[in-house]
Amino acid sequence: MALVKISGLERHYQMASETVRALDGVDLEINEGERIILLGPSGSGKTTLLNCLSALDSPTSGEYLFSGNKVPKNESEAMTTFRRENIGYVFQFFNLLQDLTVLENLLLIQELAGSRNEDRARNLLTLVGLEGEVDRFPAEISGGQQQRVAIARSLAKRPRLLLGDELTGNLDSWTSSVVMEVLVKACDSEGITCVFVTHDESLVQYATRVIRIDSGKIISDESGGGNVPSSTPLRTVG
Amino acid sequence: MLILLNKRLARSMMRSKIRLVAVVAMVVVAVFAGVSFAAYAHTVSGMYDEIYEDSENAVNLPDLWVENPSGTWDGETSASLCEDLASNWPDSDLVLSVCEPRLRLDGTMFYETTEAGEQKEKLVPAVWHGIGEGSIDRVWMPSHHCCSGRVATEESEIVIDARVATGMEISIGDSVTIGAGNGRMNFTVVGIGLHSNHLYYAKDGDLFPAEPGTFATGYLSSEGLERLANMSSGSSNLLLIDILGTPDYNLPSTDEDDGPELTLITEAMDEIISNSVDSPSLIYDRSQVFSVEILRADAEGAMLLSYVIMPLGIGISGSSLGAILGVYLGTPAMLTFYEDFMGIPILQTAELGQIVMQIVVVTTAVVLFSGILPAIQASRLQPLEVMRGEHEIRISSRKIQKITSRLPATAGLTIRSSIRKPARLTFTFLAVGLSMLLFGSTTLMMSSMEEMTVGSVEDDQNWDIQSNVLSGGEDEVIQWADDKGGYHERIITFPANPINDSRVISAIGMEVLSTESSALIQLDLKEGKLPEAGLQTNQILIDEGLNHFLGWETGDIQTLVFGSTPAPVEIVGITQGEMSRTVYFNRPDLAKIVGLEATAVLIDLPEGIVADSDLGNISLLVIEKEDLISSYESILEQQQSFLGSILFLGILIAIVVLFNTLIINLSERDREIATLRVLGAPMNRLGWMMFGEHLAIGLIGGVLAFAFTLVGTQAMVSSFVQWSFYMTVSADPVVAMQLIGIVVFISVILTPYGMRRIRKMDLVEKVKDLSQ
Repeated sequence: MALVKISGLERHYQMASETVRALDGVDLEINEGERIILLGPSGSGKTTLLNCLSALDSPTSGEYLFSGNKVPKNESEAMTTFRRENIGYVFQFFNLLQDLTVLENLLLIQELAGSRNEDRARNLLTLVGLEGEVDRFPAEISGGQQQRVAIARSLAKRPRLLLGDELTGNLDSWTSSVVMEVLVKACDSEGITCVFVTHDESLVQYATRVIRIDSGKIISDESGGGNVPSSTPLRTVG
Repeated sequence: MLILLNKRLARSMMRSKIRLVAVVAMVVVAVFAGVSFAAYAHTVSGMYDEIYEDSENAVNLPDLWVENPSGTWDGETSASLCEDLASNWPDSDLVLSVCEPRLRLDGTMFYETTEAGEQKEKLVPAVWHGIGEGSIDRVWMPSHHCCSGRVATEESEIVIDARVATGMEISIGDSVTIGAGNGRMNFTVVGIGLHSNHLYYAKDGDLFPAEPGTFATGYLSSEGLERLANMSSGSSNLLLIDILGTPDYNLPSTDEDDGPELTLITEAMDEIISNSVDSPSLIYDRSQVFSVEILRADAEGAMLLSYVIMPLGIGISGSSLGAILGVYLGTPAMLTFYEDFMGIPILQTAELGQIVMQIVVVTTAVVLFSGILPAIQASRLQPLEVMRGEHEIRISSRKIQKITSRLPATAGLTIRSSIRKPARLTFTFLAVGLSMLLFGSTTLMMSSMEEMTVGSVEDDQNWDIQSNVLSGGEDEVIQWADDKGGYHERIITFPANPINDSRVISAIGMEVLSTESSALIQLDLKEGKLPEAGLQTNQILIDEGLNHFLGWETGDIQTLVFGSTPAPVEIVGITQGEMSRTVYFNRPDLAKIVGLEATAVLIDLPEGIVADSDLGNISLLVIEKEDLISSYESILEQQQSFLGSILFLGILIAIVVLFNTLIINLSERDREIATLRVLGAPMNRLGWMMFGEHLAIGLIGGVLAFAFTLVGTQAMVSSFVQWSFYMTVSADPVVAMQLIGIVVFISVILTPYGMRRIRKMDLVEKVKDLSQ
């Protein structure tokens, strides 16, 4: 059974002079374990799709099933609960909480999800190569390291679907590849399904599936560059 | 460019309306309070000079008084005393202008009142002055609706004090029945006016103004009062001395003298009078008269200071609104209250323009100053840092992290983000502390005053009636008390002063000096023991005010002067709870010194027995304990409305300050909260985090506010305690709980607003922000 099943999804925004069809009848199925890259020009609707997938936004019409269950819409708390139980999210600008250490950023998410597990948090930080930085504040580490903390944070509560919006958009290409390698490795080891939005065509090498979107519609859906061997060593970025 | 920047700034401000409103509200409240209090203080402090001056519309206040506390001088003695003073006046720059004998007697007004539908005669304690037209210390009848008519010239005429006329509904042409220890007589009211002795309309020694119907004063012709008291023509017990011009004496202070020239005159007069008459006389200057007013002026100064400080840190935009509210609402309300409470007409309000300008300019300067730092910071921002969001990043304190590392991450985040900007937090606590200082000190003072007035009379005094008598008049009162089956004790109250010091101490001689609750007057002994009677050197107790002002201690041998008679005394203990300076003797010891057996009789009556006309006829004045308590209670109640507005202002400022800070805290944490929401943080969890933060700020703010209050009130009290009024303030746990409770409540009550703000957050937009 597909983890995500979307059919006829529409999201319209009422502007002053017109109605913008950000999503215009999207049909999509995502299976467990897939790593999908969403590509498209600005204004194509890829971020709106990501927002609907994460239940941050409610579609105007259409159906969205997650593990066969309807995803709540237009109910703030129910949508929040859905996110908490199922979704991990990685931002372009990391958005780590500056008052908490690296480790505490992970523990906070676990506490909010109702199950603090420090061992798991430490293991995740080891997985992303940051075992030596656990007690540092975000401002004391580099951008690449912060993004790896953000990835570990998004995995800390064992989400079933990990979403990322331009998650390497703030990093140089070398650091981007390191982060993506870490992400792929972590998702593989945790068995987490991923959907990433990006402009960067070079990232398709990390995807199992590449979906192109334009004017609110899926215009292509094809296999990606494949898998990264799990034996690839992680490099520490400075 | 500048116009565009200003437009952008204006629109940006309008986007955060609540914050803008909070800042404007802070300014409005601060300027409103500043203008109201400053105008009040300026108006009140200047008005007395105009009343006292030597002019046609003023009273010509004497410069020196000579008082005979033990009786009266007959007409011949009075005249010769003035002649002796004139002929032996020392060679000085201070030239004697007028010496006027005056009779002033305690008495009673017999006032018909209706209680529970029953006509009843009430004995109202009174003071009667024989003034007539007088050239010094005249009756003050300003052109104001308070006063009307003319002075008493015939022996059947009286001018009634304006507060009595209002309180007892007496008009010109009415007949009043009064007495002065020698039966009763009717007088016709020909005027309604005021007198310098009773501008602050309180019974002698009382801190609070007398409640309407509990105290009366009247100004008769000299002949009228002599007739009432059955005294010979020209009798007096006061000499009013007017020195040419209006010398600028060193006004009252508790520690300093009143100027070498005046001291010289006082000493010379003392000698002249001692040579002329045997009875002890008391000479005093204006310091005794001004004491109450100075007390008030100091309190206002302290309040004013706290309100001038308040505009600090507050923005400019509400200045105009605050000034308008202050001028048209606050100032008239405060002055009306003063007129009502004190009963003194305010003929002219202070020049408000200057006050408003001062406060607005201070506020403006502070706002400009506050705006400079952010402007400098903005001008130094690096565009790349801004774009990366690095300009907002502050590395959290490692110490705080260590302290809170064992707590759950949610609690750690709550604590650390609360103290992320320690300077602002400190200012918040400071502002809350200062605003609550006003509330706290008022509450603390009220609680102390209530304890010293109602509390001390209700709990520590077991007499029902105090009947004041002339020398030898106590026997009739004792007979009356025996007839009624009452218990009685004679007491002597006589003025004394420390040697070489003109400040007055009330020497009280009591039949039974006791700390037992069953005593007619229970003493609160702070240290030492009760005095023994009949020793070579009289043993006495002193109040803690004397200990404070004179440094007198238990075990000391000191000298008290009664008129011109010195008496060595041994201090064996110190009492507390007295507002005015007091020493306690065993009555027989004091009787030997002053030559009087009693000045009053305290009576404890059986259930159901009350004072009657017979007692009124044989007493100088009759004080009923119940009246005293209800009078205090009524005054305290009356003050509630005024103090309520001060309390309200304090709380309002605290609300605005806290609201402003918490709103800024919240809006600064939008990014953090949005991140948490996107990552699935439930509202109730965020709500608890916010509640915890507000609770912590409230608790710390409340504790600091109480600390501020204690220190501030102590400072305020120590600035205005003086010889004639002494009190101490202790940390009342009830007030502490109230204060902390209020700050916590204000802080916590803002949580729902924060929750609402988070609920209304558009997460899609926030994610856009987070991704840009």
